Amino acid sequence: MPCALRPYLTEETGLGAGSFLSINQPGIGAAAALLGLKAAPAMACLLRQNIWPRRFSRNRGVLTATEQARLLEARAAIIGCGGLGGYVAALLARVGLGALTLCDGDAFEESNLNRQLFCRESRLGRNKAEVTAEEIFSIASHVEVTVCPEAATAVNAAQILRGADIVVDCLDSIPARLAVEKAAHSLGLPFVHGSIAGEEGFAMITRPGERGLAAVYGGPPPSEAAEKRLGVPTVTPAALACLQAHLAVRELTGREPKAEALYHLDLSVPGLEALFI
Amino acid sequence: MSITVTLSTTLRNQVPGYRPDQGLTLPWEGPQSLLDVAQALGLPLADIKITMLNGRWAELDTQVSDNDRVAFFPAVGGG
Repeated sequence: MPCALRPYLTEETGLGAGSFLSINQPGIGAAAALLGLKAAPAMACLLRQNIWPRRFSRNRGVLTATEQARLLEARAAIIGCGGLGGYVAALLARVGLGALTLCDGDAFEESNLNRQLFCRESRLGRNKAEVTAEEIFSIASHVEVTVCPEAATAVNAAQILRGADIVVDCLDSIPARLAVEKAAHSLGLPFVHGSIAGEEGFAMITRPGERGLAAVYGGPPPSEAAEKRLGVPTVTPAALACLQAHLAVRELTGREPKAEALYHLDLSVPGLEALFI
Repeated sequence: MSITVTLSTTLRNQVPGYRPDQGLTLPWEGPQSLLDVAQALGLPLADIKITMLNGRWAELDTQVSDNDRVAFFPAVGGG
Protein backbone atom coordinates (compact mmCIF):
# COMPACT_ATOMS: atom_id res chain seq x y z
CA MET A 1 0.00 0.00 0.00
CA PRO A 2 1.47 3.37 -0.98
CA CYS A 3 2.64 5.53 1.93
CA ALA A 4 0.45 8.34 0.59
CA LEU A 5 -2.62 6.54 1.96
CA ARG A 6 -1.26 6.11 5.48
CA PRO A 7 -2.86 9.32 6.86
CA TYR A 8 -6.29 7.97 5.91
CA LEU A 9 -5.90 4.59 7.60
CA THR A 10 -6.98 3.62 11.11
CA GLU A 11 -6.32 0.40 12.94
CA GLU A 12 -9.72 -0.72 14.20
CA THR A 13 -9.96 -2.94 17.25
CA GLY A 14 -12.89 -4.32 19.16
CA LEU A 15 -15.09 -4.76 16.07
CA GLY A 16 -15.70 -8.41 15.24
CA ALA A 17 -12.76 -10.79 15.25
CA GLY A 18 -9.27 -9.30 15.46
CA SER A 19 -8.04 -5.89 14.40
CA PHE A 20 -8.07 -4.56 10.86
CA LEU A 21 -7.28 -1.43 8.87
CA SER A 22 -10.04 0.89 7.79
CA ILE A 23 -9.82 3.78 5.34
CA ASN A 24 -11.95 6.89 5.55
CA GLN A 25 -13.95 8.58 2.81
CA PRO A 26 -11.21 11.11 1.79
CA GLY A 27 -8.79 8.18 1.64
CA ILE A 28 -10.99 6.42 -0.88
CA GLY A 29 -10.79 9.48 -3.13
CA ALA A 30 -7.01 9.50 -2.75
CA ALA A 31 -6.78 5.76 -3.46
CA ALA A 32 -8.99 6.10 -6.53
CA ALA A 33 -6.72 8.86 -7.86
CA LEU A 34 -3.57 6.84 -7.13
CA LEU A 35 -4.96 3.70 -8.74
CA GLY A 36 -6.56 5.52 -11.67
CA LEU A 37 -9.90 3.90 -10.82
CA LYS A 38 -13.37 5.06 -9.94
CA ALA A 39 -14.32 4.89 -6.26
CA ALA A 40 -16.15 1.52 -6.27
CA PRO A 41 -13.39 -0.49 -8.01
CA ALA A 42 -10.79 1.32 -5.90
CA MET A 43 -12.62 0.18 -2.76
CA ALA A 44 -12.72 -3.39 -4.11
CA CYS A 45 -8.96 -3.18 -4.67
CA LEU A 46 -8.40 -1.97 -1.09
CA LEU A 47 -10.59 -4.76 0.30
CA ARG A 48 -8.50 -7.34 -1.54
CA GLN A 49 -5.60 -6.08 0.61
CA ASN A 50 -7.90 -6.42 3.63
CA ILE A 51 -8.34 -2.65 4.03
CA TRP A 52 -11.98 -1.91 4.77
CA PRO A 53 -13.61 1.31 3.62
CA ARG A 54 -14.89 2.63 6.93
CA ARG A 55 -18.40 3.00 5.48
CA PHE A 56 -18.54 -0.81 5.21
CA SER A 57 -16.65 -1.64 8.40
CA ARG A 58 -19.84 -2.70 10.20
CA ASN A 59 -20.56 -5.23 7.44
CA ARG A 60 -17.41 -7.02 8.55
CA GLY A 61 -18.35 -10.08 10.56
CA VAL A 62 -21.19 -10.89 8.20
CA LEU A 63 -19.33 -10.30 4.93
CA THR A 64 -15.72 -11.22 4.28
CA ALA A 65 -13.45 -8.67 2.57
CA THR A 66 -13.61 -10.77 -0.59
CA GLU A 67 -17.42 -10.82 -0.51
CA GLN A 68 -17.57 -7.08 0.10
CA ALA A 69 -15.23 -6.55 -2.88
CA ARG A 70 -17.42 -8.79 -5.03
CA LEU A 71 -20.49 -6.69 -4.20
CA LEU A 72 -18.63 -3.50 -5.17
CA GLU A 73 -17.91 -5.02 -8.56
CA ALA A 74 -21.54 -6.04 -9.13
CA ARG A 75 -24.50 -4.30 -10.75
CA ALA A 76 -28.08 -4.95 -9.66
CA ALA A 77 -30.95 -3.97 -11.95
CA ILE A 78 -33.88 -2.86 -9.79
CA ILE A 79 -37.00 -3.00 -11.90
CA GLY A 80 -39.66 -0.86 -10.27
CA CYS A 81 -38.78 1.98 -7.86
CA GLY A 82 -41.98 2.15 -5.80
CA GLY A 83 -42.81 0.37 -2.53
CA LEU A 84 -40.29 -2.44 -2.85
CA GLY A 85 -37.76 -0.82 -5.20
CA GLY A 86 -37.01 2.29 -3.13
CA TYR A 87 -36.05 0.22 -0.09
CA VAL A 88 -34.18 -2.37 -2.18
CA ALA A 89 -32.15 0.42 -3.87
CA ALA A 90 -31.28 2.04 -0.53
CA LEU A 91 -30.31 -1.27 1.09
CA LEU A 92 -28.19 -2.45 -1.83
CA ALA A 93 -26.42 0.91 -1.98
CA ARG A 94 -25.71 0.79 1.75
CA VAL A 95 -24.53 -2.83 1.75
CA GLY A 96 -22.05 -1.97 -1.01
CA LEU A 97 -23.27 -2.75 -4.52
CA GLY A 98 -21.03 -0.89 -6.93
CA ALA A 99 -23.64 -0.18 -9.59
CA LEU A 100 -27.42 -0.01 -9.84
CA THR A 101 -29.81 0.23 -12.75
CA LEU A 102 -33.04 1.92 -11.65
CA CYS A 103 -36.09 1.48 -13.84
CA ASP A 104 -39.61 2.88 -13.41
CA GLY A 105 -41.93 4.72 -15.79
CA ASP A 106 -44.25 6.08 -13.08
CA ALA A 107 -44.30 9.34 -11.15
CA PHE A 108 -44.80 9.57 -7.37
CA GLU A 109 -48.36 10.30 -6.28
CA GLU A 110 -50.04 11.06 -2.97
CA SER A 111 -51.25 7.49 -2.40
CA ASN A 112 -47.57 6.36 -2.38
CA LEU A 113 -46.76 8.46 0.70
CA ASN A 114 -47.81 5.70 3.14
CA ARG A 115 -45.05 3.30 2.11
CA GLN A 116 -42.64 4.32 -0.64
CA LEU A 117 -39.30 5.29 0.91
CA PHE A 118 -38.36 8.08 -1.52
CA CYS A 119 -41.87 9.44 -2.04
CA ARG A 120 -41.81 12.84 -0.36
CA GLU A 121 -44.37 15.64 -0.52
CA SER A 122 -41.81 17.69 -2.43
CA ARG A 123 -41.30 14.93 -5.01
CA LEU A 124 -44.91 14.31 -6.03
CA GLY A 125 -45.27 14.21 -9.81
CA ARG A 126 -41.63 13.34 -10.43
CA ASN A 127 -40.37 10.13 -12.04
CA LYS A 128 -39.63 7.46 -9.44
CA ALA A 129 -36.40 6.19 -11.04
CA GLU A 130 -34.95 9.70 -11.35
CA VAL A 131 -35.81 10.60 -7.75
CA THR A 132 -34.39 7.28 -6.49
CA ALA A 133 -31.14 7.96 -8.37
CA GLU A 134 -30.78 11.34 -6.60
CA GLU A 135 -31.45 9.75 -3.22
CA ILE A 136 -28.93 6.97 -3.87
CA PHE A 137 -26.31 9.56 -4.77
CA SER A 138 -26.88 11.25 -1.41
CA ILE A 139 -26.44 7.90 0.42
CA ALA A 140 -23.55 6.46 -1.59
CA SER A 141 -22.01 8.75 -4.20
CA HIS A 142 -19.67 6.01 -5.46
CA VAL A 143 -22.58 3.93 -6.83
CA GLU A 144 -22.69 4.00 -10.63
CA VAL A 145 -26.38 4.58 -11.34
CA THR A 146 -28.08 4.07 -14.68
CA VAL A 147 -31.58 5.52 -14.79
CA CYS A 148 -34.32 4.18 -17.03
CA PRO A 149 -37.40 6.40 -16.61
CA GLU A 150 -39.73 4.13 -18.56
CA ALA A 151 -41.68 0.97 -17.86
CA ALA A 152 -39.88 -2.34 -18.46
CA THR A 153 -41.70 -4.43 -21.05
CA ALA A 154 -41.06 -7.58 -23.07
CA VAL A 155 -39.71 -5.28 -25.81
CA ASN A 156 -37.13 -3.27 -23.85
CA ALA A 157 -36.31 -5.51 -20.84
CA ALA A 158 -33.21 -7.18 -22.31
CA GLN A 159 -31.77 -3.78 -23.19
CA ILE A 160 -32.43 -2.42 -19.69
CA LEU A 161 -30.86 -5.45 -17.99
CA ARG A 162 -27.68 -5.37 -20.04
CA GLY A 163 -24.58 -5.17 -17.85
CA ALA A 164 -26.38 -6.36 -14.71
CA ASP A 165 -25.27 -9.29 -12.57
CA ILE A 166 -28.64 -9.76 -10.87
CA VAL A 167 -32.20 -8.53 -11.40
CA VAL A 168 -34.50 -7.52 -8.55
CA ASP A 169 -38.19 -7.67 -9.39
CA CYS A 170 -39.95 -4.78 -7.66
CA LEU A 171 -42.76 -4.52 -10.19
CA ASP A 172 -46.47 -4.39 -9.46
CA SER A 173 -48.04 -6.52 -12.18
CA ILE A 174 -47.74 -10.21 -12.89
CA PRO A 175 -47.39 -9.96 -16.72
CA ALA A 176 -44.54 -7.42 -16.36
CA ARG A 177 -42.78 -9.68 -13.86
CA LEU A 178 -42.99 -12.65 -16.22
CA ALA A 179 -41.60 -10.56 -19.12
CA VAL A 180 -38.65 -9.26 -17.09
CA GLU A 181 -37.90 -12.72 -15.68
CA LYS A 182 -37.80 -14.12 -19.20
CA ALA A 183 -35.34 -11.42 -20.29
CA ALA A 184 -33.20 -11.95 -17.17
CA HIS A 185 -32.96 -15.68 -17.70
CA SER A 186 -32.21 -15.24 -21.41
CA LEU A 187 -29.19 -13.16 -20.33
CA GLY A 188 -28.19 -15.86 -17.82
CA LEU A 189 -29.08 -13.68 -14.81
CA PRO A 190 -30.68 -14.67 -11.50
CA PHE A 191 -33.99 -12.96 -10.77
CA VAL A 192 -35.08 -11.98 -7.24
CA HIS A 193 -38.85 -11.87 -7.20
CA GLY A 194 -40.85 -9.99 -4.59
CA SER A 195 -44.57 -9.30 -4.31
CA ILE A 196 -46.92 -8.12 -1.60
CA ALA A 197 -50.61 -7.89 -0.71
CA GLY A 198 -52.01 -6.81 2.63
CA GLU A 199 -49.77 -8.04 5.43
CA GLU A 200 -48.20 -10.80 3.35
CA GLY A 201 -45.31 -10.92 0.93
CA PHE A 202 -43.48 -13.44 -1.21
CA ALA A 203 -39.87 -13.60 -2.32
CA MET A 204 -38.06 -16.13 -4.47
CA ILE A 205 -34.87 -16.37 -6.49
CA THR A 206 -35.36 -17.92 -9.90
CA ARG A 207 -32.46 -18.91 -12.12
CA PRO A 208 -32.02 -19.76 -15.80
CA GLY A 209 -33.21 -23.27 -16.56
CA GLU A 210 -35.67 -23.41 -13.64
CA ARG A 211 -39.46 -23.25 -13.96
CA GLY A 212 -39.30 -19.87 -12.29
CA LEU A 213 -42.34 -17.70 -11.71
CA ALA A 214 -44.47 -19.86 -14.00
CA ALA A 215 -44.54 -22.39 -11.15
CA VAL A 216 -46.13 -19.73 -8.96
CA TYR A 217 -48.09 -17.55 -11.37
CA GLY A 218 -48.77 -19.92 -14.27
CA GLY A 219 -52.20 -20.00 -15.86
CA PRO A 220 -54.63 -17.13 -16.34
CA PRO A 221 -54.19 -14.03 -14.15
CA PRO A 222 -56.57 -13.63 -11.18
CA SER A 223 -59.88 -11.87 -11.81
CA GLU A 224 -59.07 -9.26 -9.18
CA ALA A 225 -55.60 -8.36 -7.92
CA ALA A 226 -55.21 -9.40 -4.26
CA GLU A 227 -53.37 -6.19 -3.44
CA LYS A 228 -56.32 -4.11 -4.74
CA ARG A 229 -58.62 -5.73 -2.21
CA LEU A 230 -56.17 -5.99 0.70
CA GLY A 231 -54.20 -2.79 0.18
CA VAL A 232 -50.47 -2.24 0.53
CA PRO A 233 -49.85 -0.99 4.07
CA THR A 234 -46.77 0.77 5.39
CA VAL A 235 -44.55 -1.96 6.76
CA THR A 236 -45.15 -4.84 4.32
CA PRO A 237 -43.04 -3.49 1.43
CA ALA A 238 -40.27 -2.40 3.81
CA ALA A 239 -40.09 -5.87 5.37
CA LEU A 240 -40.26 -7.73 2.08
CA ALA A 241 -37.68 -5.42 0.45
CA CYS A 242 -35.25 -6.31 3.28
CA LEU A 243 -35.74 -9.96 2.42
CA GLN A 244 -35.20 -9.31 -1.30
CA ALA A 245 -32.03 -7.29 -0.69
CA HIS A 246 -30.78 -10.02 1.63
CA LEU A 247 -31.45 -12.71 -0.96
CA ALA A 248 -29.71 -10.64 -3.65
CA VAL A 249 -26.59 -10.30 -1.47
CA ARG A 250 -26.66 -14.01 -0.65
CA GLU A 251 -26.93 -14.88 -4.34
CA LEU A 252 -24.12 -12.50 -5.34
CA THR A 253 -21.84 -13.90 -2.65
CA GLY A 254 -22.70 -17.52 -3.46
CA ARG A 255 -24.42 -18.14 -0.15
CA GLU A 256 -27.97 -18.83 -1.30
CA PRO A 257 -28.69 -22.53 -1.82
CA LYS A 258 -29.76 -23.44 -5.35
CA ALA A 259 -33.16 -24.69 -4.20
CA GLU A 260 -36.42 -23.34 -5.58
CA ALA A 261 -37.59 -21.86 -2.29
CA LEU A 262 -40.51 -19.47 -2.04
CA TYR A 263 -40.29 -17.35 1.09
CA HIS A 264 -43.65 -16.39 2.56
CA LEU A 265 -43.61 -13.47 4.95
CA ASP A 266 -46.80 -13.12 6.99
CA LEU A 267 -46.82 -10.08 9.25
CA SER A 268 -50.29 -10.97 10.54
CA VAL A 269 -48.83 -13.93 12.50
CA PRO A 270 -46.00 -12.63 12.28
CA GLY A 271 -43.78 -15.23 10.68
CA LEU A 272 -41.55 -16.23 7.80
CA GLU A 273 -41.60 -19.67 6.20
CA ALA A 274 -39.66 -21.24 3.35
CA LEU A 275 -41.80 -23.28 0.96
CA PHE A 276 -40.25 -25.61 -1.56
CA ILE A 277 -41.62 -25.31 -5.06
CA MET B 1 -57.44 -37.29 13.59
CA SER B 2 -57.11 -33.86 12.01
CA ILE B 3 -55.32 -31.70 9.45
CA THR B 4 -54.25 -28.07 9.65
CA VAL B 5 -55.09 -25.70 6.80
CA THR B 6 -53.62 -22.24 6.33
CA LEU B 7 -54.90 -19.70 3.84
CA SER B 8 -53.16 -16.70 2.29
CA THR B 9 -54.32 -13.16 1.46
CA THR B 10 -57.72 -13.08 -0.32
CA LEU B 11 -58.47 -16.76 0.36
CA ARG B 12 -58.75 -15.85 4.05
CA ASN B 13 -61.82 -13.79 3.27
CA GLN B 14 -63.62 -16.95 2.16
CA VAL B 15 -63.65 -18.36 5.69
CA PRO B 16 -65.31 -16.02 8.22
CA GLY B 17 -63.35 -15.64 11.43
CA TYR B 18 -60.13 -17.07 9.95
CA ARG B 19 -57.19 -16.42 12.30
CA PRO B 20 -53.77 -16.25 10.59
CA ASP B 21 -51.90 -17.24 13.76
CA GLN B 22 -53.96 -20.43 14.17
CA GLY B 23 -55.08 -21.51 10.71
CA LEU B 24 -57.92 -24.03 10.57
CA THR B 25 -58.05 -27.44 12.17
CA LEU B 26 -60.29 -29.79 10.20
CA PRO B 27 -61.22 -33.38 11.07
CA TRP B 28 -59.49 -35.99 8.94
CA GLU B 29 -62.08 -38.62 8.06
CA GLY B 30 -60.31 -40.98 5.73
CA PRO B 31 -58.91 -40.60 2.22
CA GLN B 32 -59.31 -37.14 0.70
CA SER B 33 -57.34 -35.01 -1.77
CA LEU B 34 -56.18 -31.41 -1.51
CA LEU B 35 -58.95 -30.60 -3.97
CA ASP B 36 -61.52 -32.13 -1.58
CA VAL B 37 -60.17 -29.93 1.22
CA ALA B 38 -60.36 -26.77 -0.93
CA GLN B 39 -63.92 -27.61 -2.00
CA ALA B 40 -65.02 -28.39 1.56
CA LEU B 41 -63.89 -24.88 2.55
CA GLY B 42 -65.67 -23.31 -0.43
CA LEU B 43 -62.47 -21.81 -1.82
CA PRO B 44 -62.71 -20.47 -5.41
CA LEU B 45 -60.52 -22.99 -7.25
CA ALA B 46 -59.60 -20.50 -10.00
CA ASP B 47 -57.92 -18.29 -7.37
CA ILE B 48 -55.68 -21.03 -5.92
CA LYS B 49 -52.25 -20.68 -7.53
CA ILE B 50 -50.06 -22.63 -5.11
CA THR B 51 -50.92 -25.61 -2.96
CA MET B 52 -48.47 -26.77 -0.34
CA LEU B 53 -48.51 -30.03 1.61
CA ASN B 54 -46.19 -30.04 4.63
CA GLY B 55 -44.18 -27.13 3.19
CA ARG B 56 -43.71 -28.63 -0.27
CA TRP B 57 -45.50 -27.85 -3.50
CA ALA B 58 -48.18 -30.43 -4.36
CA GLU B 59 -50.78 -31.03 -7.09
CA LEU B 60 -54.42 -30.64 -6.09
CA ASP B 61 -55.08 -34.37 -6.58
CA THR B 62 -52.49 -35.31 -3.91
CA GLN B 63 -53.93 -37.32 -1.03
CA VAL B 64 -53.95 -35.83 2.45
CA SER B 65 -53.13 -37.87 5.57
CA ASP B 66 -53.76 -37.44 9.27
CA ASN B 67 -51.69 -34.60 10.84
CA ASP B 68 -50.79 -33.07 7.46
CA ARG B 69 -50.32 -29.32 7.05
CA VAL B 70 -52.04 -27.88 4.00
CA ALA B 71 -51.67 -24.34 2.65
CA PHE B 72 -53.45 -22.57 -0.21
CA PHE B 73 -52.11 -19.39 -1.85
CA PRO B 74 -53.55 -17.11 -4.54
CA ALA B 75 -51.40 -15.07 -6.97
CA VAL B 76 -50.11 -11.83 -5.49
CA GLY B 77 -48.67 -9.14 -7.72
CA GLY B 78 -48.30 -5.96 -5.66
CA GLY B 79 -45.07 -4.05 -5.28
